[in-house]
Amino acid sequence: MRVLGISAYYHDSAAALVDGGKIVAAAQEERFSRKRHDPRFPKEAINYCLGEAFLQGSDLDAVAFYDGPVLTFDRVVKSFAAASRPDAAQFSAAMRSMLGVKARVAAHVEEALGGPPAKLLFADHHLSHAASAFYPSPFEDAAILTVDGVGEWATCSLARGSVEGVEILEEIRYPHSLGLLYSAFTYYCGFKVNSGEYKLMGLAPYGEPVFADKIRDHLIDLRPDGSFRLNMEYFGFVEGDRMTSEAFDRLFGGPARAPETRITRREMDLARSIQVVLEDAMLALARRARERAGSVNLALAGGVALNCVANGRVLREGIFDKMWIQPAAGDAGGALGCALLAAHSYFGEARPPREKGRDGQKGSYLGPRFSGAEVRAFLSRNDYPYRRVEDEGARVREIAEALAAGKVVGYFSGRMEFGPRSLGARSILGDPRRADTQSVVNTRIKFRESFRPFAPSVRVEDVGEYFELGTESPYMLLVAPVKESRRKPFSVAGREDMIAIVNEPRSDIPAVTHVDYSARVQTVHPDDHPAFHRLLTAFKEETGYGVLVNTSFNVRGEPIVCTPKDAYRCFMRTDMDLLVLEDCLLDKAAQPAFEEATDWRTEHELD
Amino acid sequence: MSSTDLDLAALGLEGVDLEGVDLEGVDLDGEDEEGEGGDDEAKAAARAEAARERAAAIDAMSARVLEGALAEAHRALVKRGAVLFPMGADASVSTYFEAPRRGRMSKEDFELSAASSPDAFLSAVRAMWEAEGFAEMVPVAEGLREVGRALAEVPEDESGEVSGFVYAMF
Repeated sequence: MRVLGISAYYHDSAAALVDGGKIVAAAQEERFSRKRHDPRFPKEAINYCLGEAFLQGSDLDAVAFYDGPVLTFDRVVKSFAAASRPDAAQFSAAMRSMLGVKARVAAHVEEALGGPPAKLLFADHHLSHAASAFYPSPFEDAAILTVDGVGEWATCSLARGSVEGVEILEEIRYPHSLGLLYSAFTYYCGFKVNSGEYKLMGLAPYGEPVFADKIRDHLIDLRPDGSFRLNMEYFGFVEGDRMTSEAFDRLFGGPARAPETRITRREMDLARSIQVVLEDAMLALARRARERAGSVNLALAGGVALNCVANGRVLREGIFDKMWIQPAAGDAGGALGCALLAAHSYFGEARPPREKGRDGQKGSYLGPRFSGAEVRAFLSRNDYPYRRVEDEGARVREIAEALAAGKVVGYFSGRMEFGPRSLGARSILGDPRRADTQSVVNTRIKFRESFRPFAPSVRVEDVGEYFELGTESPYMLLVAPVKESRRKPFSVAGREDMIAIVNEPRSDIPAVTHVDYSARVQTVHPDDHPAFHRLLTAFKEETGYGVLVNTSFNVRGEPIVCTPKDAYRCFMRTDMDLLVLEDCLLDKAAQPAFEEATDWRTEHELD
Repeated sequence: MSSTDLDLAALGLEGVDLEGVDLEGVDLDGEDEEGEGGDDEAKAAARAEAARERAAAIDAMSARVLEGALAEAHRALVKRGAVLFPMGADASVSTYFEAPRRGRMSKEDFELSAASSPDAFLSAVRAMWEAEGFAEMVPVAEGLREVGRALAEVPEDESGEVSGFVYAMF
């Protein structure tokens, strides 16, 4: 059965195609529209998915949508009915959205497919997340934990996956939400809700958990069984248009930090405090899931599952033997989840066997690929100078030598990643050994100052040489300590200049070592991305290190590049030294002057 | 201006009941002030103005529901002590976990006939509220029908994008 899954109208719309229970293609709309977190109907992503499988809309057995609109509407209207002073502008905006664009799913699908689908199905939000976590996992059975802001009424679900499918066992309901609690602190610390959560997590190691007790005493009642409730007196999202209330301001000593202003000790300590509380909650939920589902395996999804620090803590506590996290854990992954759920639960499709005991996510390389011929056609048409290096051994040696010499490389290889992380298909790469890689990539390429170090990509067979991690982390969703033997004495105590701190070497791979000696690890398996694995091998042969800096191929506020054109544009707008487009190498010095009619820095809203 | 004087079709509001909507200060005549043969810029400006007017009319309809049926539902729910959802901790319960509305989905659960139109959708919402014993909410669903019909007539790019906050909230 061929099922197209769609997530749309909220955040990060996406499409995914499943055939015979196997994932064929998946992509986020933002990569095509070039609008970050694009919430609009994913017509470009749908076109891509159908094209990838050489299908027309009429070839599909069903289209599935990842959310139940009736229950979502029910929650929205009841929120306003519960509020003593509901905000008229918010109500109007909500009705425009719910009864306007969101009521047009059927019409949008029909338009995108060129006719009505054989079936239009609607899947529950958290069941979709649970399906996205379980079905692609390598497990025959698993406890499933889905934690996000909210979907319909649920904010957190404990489920079980087995040969009988996916079943939700119990849930926590709106407005009591770990995702919204974390987002409230994201907002309060001056970061953008729905994209700044990652920054808040990265800020936490600079702080002390001095507010953790205050959070536990006033904001959340966390029970030993993992269930919880928020005290809505401190939050604004039910009553009005703020994440937090005036009581929240009073509790933490003043108003929220204004975006883009200096980060102070208060924000560092708040970040650490909410991270500690979140981890406590996730551990309690994991224990409960273990008990209820009775499995030694854990599958995770939902936006909170992108908190790789909490994931690493759950792993280290040893509650489960094995753990698998859906790389597109947020709403984009709902497109994949609802397609899988429909394939297995609606059509009764059998779950395909796992090959070599590995997962079915295919490294999450599920997006568009551009052949060498397509790349060369693009470059020739535009008269961009390039060198084609057909011999792969020679090519990876040349790239590795450039990296070892301190050059920054834009690396475009194979199918684009599905999910928010760059995993070596659309990545900017650098040398993790150099003390200046952090500042060079941030200031000359990303055009930002960042207190967060970059993530390392490491050959799966070498992970134990660098990190205290006893398992694969193919999707950069686990944080693990850098091995003690590699660390250098270092302390952040009493220091507030985060940029100075982050630029100070803390290990022999300083560009990927956070101030608490942690790292967001991606292990690279040769079956998932052979070319990237060979590049890591070449770098190891050149330097003795089988690890590289891997950051997303974009500038701040821009979606990750999708096409050769996107990649070339990003390369020319920044100080990257070398661009690798499949088997073509482009030296910056050889390129003609790149002129644009407008200042590209104004194109993208900062995240 | 009275709502009965309006050319609703020209405003994309055909079939919409505007009775009682406060239209003071809202130009709803739908005419292109530049007249036929105006240049592209003038036409674009007129379209933008018409869109603003449609948005104002829909805002007014929503406000009428908010201040009417929804406010009445709130008062009635408070009066009878109905709790739509808890707002904080409760020492009297042993756990905050709840059984899911449905742990699995049947084939019928996937097939949502309510998605066919805003009217069908609101009928499904109304039926659910009645079944749950929230009769106070039923007039809200009825009041929102005209908003749904109006939005169905609005061109796609005017139906509103979702703000980050709305996502966080909804």
